[in-house]
Amino acid sequence: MPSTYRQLNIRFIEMHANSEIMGALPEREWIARAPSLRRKRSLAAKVQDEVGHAHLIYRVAESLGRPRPAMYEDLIAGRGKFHNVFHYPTYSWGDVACIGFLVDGAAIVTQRALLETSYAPYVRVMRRVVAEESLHYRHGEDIMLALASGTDEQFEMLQEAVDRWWEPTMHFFGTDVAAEDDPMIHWGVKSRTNEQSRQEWISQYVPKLWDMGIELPDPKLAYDPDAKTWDYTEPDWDRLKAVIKGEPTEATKTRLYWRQLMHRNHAWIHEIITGDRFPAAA
Amino acid sequence: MEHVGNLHAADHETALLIARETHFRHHEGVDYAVVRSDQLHRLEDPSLLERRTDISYRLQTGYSGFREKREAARAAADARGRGHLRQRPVPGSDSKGAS
Amino acid sequence: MTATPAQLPELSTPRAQVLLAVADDALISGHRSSHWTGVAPSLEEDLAFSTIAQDGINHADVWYQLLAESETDVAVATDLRAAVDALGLGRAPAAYRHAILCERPPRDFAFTLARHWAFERFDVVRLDVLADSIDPDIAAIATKLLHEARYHLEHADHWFARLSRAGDQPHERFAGALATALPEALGLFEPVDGEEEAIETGLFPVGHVALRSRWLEIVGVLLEEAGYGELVPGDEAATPREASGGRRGEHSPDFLDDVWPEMTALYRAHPDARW
Repeated sequence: MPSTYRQLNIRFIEMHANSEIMGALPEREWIARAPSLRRKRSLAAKVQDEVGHAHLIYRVAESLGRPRPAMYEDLIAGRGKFHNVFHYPTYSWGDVACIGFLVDGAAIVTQRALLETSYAPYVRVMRRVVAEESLHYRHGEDIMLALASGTDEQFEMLQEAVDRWWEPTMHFFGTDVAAEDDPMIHWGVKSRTNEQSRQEWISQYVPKLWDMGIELPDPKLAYDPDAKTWDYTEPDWDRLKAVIKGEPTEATKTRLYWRQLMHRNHAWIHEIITGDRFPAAA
Repeated sequence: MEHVGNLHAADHETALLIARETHFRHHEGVDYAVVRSDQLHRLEDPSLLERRTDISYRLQTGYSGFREKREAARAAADARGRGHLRQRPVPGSDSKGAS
Repeated sequence: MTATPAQLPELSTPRAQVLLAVADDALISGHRSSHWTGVAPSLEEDLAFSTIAQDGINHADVWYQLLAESETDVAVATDLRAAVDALGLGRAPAAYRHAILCERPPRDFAFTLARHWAFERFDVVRLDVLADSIDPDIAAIATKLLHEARYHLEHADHWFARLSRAGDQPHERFAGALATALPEALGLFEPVDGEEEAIETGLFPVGHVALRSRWLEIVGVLLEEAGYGELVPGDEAATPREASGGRRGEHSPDFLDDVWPEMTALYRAHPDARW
């Protein structure tokens, strides 16, 4: 296996697994606060599935030679990479709807593209992940529809959250990189360009939001039936860079700090549960 | 990995060698592993997997009635004066809104 | 803002009080356990413990359904989900009947596992007697839930054994956690209002108070075997004051200032909303 291919895969797959874990953190805050017993359980089940995906995907990276304790240590220490959208705080149940439907929807689009990825163990895991994601999709849409057809306060709650999550979700797909310039495509790790995935997501989700009477905070957003593409205002990429490369957001810092604390306290239990030894404290 | 069968062998090296012909001679797979049957640890009580309460909240079957729910959301949008949003062009429509 | 009393069924009968104790123990335990989802000490244990947390909420839901369906007036009967949520999330703090042990924060995973063990060992003993209830609905539900509680018990017993045998340091640390959880567990065995009548009619055979010696018999042996003999609560030991009173609706700041506001605020802020 060429070393570049292995390294690209490890980086991509590790970031994917990290994102599943970090993606769980904003949502899990709402399990305790869920406004119905059924949503309380279903949100817990969804977060549980995300942990389950991380579990499966870390294993794929491990199979390429990267030990799980090392990946986990890096993540907790703030060195691990994960998708930008999970750096943001949550403020209301509207955020739960947006994360569950829009952000998860973006993940589903990119995950479906991974069904054609070249590394076979990754494909096998992705089949299971995609199957579970379709449950999450229904769960997300269910929550959204309840808010959209609910009281005026619930509708406002949803609209306000959508206004905040629009740009981060557009950022999620990355800048428009031509296929021939994208090493991920060259090596067969990704099968679609960033822009193709973004257009696919907009096509699937914006009509559903409009259907519910929810507006997006982009006056240029419109479908061009002749060009068969969506026009939109270019997201602010400097803002994304600041989020990924700059100081971690307050939300991320808090979540990671708490994880680090728990991690140190629980090293002894972790060893008993898994048999893993962590590398000596860095 | 899925369990595909058993064979008799004195040790795992022999088992690895022979399995190719006992179980894969028609290209049934791309990889395999062998484990000695006394190293295979089974559930004592498979009924542990049975659920007796309603766990539909974590299954696809727990989410239904989307057509009615979407209609209700459209009606609510109309009542809020936001019904015009779905008249905008989208993929797969003429200049009518999403169906 | 609390759900208006008109929405809630009659809750002062002995039967309702017993059902609330069982349901609230499950709900509050499940709520506290669910804090670990996404942040447990290992991915594998995260997955296992999250199901146990969800089951707690699930079991509570089943009991609340029974309560809503059977002790209800017309207003509640028309929408079972709304009635269940009104019971689970719409009562004032003094109306909850769970033991104070259940409302304690998860602290660290050693305490969580110690509490989990003490509680599951209690839950199966209680479900077992409820399976013989003269009330056929209660008996049927208890039998069903007992089947699922077996996995919880296996899980709790497994980690009890592992932590106690993993070496001197883990043994000691787990001893500390058990020393905190076991005295407070005695609060599980306090009676609800009207429990005498529930015992006499056969609705709740044996009752909470008499269940204590059954529980002590079992956990006593297990604790001795594991080298924790000095932690076995005495037969005559009183429940520590700060852990007593849950079954009468007297809860600690952990519930009044932490669990209840966090768990119910959003629900109560939007009465009549569907989610």
